[in-house]
Amino acid sequence: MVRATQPKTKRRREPRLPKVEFLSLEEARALYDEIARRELGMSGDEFIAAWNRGDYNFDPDYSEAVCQLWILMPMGLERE
Amino acid sequence: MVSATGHRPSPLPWDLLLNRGAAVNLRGGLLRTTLHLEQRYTFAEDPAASARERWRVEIAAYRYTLSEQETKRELFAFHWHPGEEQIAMPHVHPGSRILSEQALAGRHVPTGPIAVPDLLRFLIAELGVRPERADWQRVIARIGEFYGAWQVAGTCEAS
Repeated sequence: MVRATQPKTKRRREPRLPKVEFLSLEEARALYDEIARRELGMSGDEFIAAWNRGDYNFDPDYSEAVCQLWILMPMGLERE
Repeated sequence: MVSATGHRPSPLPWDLLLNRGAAVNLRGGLLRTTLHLEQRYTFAEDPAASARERWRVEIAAYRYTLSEQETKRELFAFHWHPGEEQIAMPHVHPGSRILSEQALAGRHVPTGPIAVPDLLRFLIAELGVRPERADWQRVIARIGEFYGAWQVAGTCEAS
């Protein structure tokens, strides 16, 4: 007797996605400070104060560095 | 390396950034380029949805900037930073490097919302950047499945 076998259906594996590292609040604040010093030569707190004063006309398009620090500003803020 | 700052609902948004905010050198391509990538995101709850689909990620702002490796001059800067006194629509800034007319530098050219899969496809398929993975198209398609309908007026949603 011949037994017909079905080829195993190859299950399509989902691609492995890149891993994400999650930063603690302290790590995020420290990194924000590092980025601010690298890009604008000031601390993260100093940039936030300057932004709130209107030094950059409240315009994230003021420069690429300002845009980066504006988008990342939640990293530099205190959270409850 | 992708870094993110939060994975729970919060009154303040969270941030996602590539290479800890430093430029990433891209391999291959028409030009030797670097990429900056940052996003701001929040978590939105849909109480009527099932437990599995109750929370979704909403992109609240983004900046993707492509620059020349040697000179650091910007080629394209895709921005979306809605706010009270700011340009609300997603837009691209053509860098001075590629403009012959300096008067156009800094202008806000409107675009639709740009998702990370769109950006990656542009870099690889259009600019010839060499992907690290041979299955990049599947990876991008898989990531794209997480993005739902984008709403420009409010926030961009990633389901």
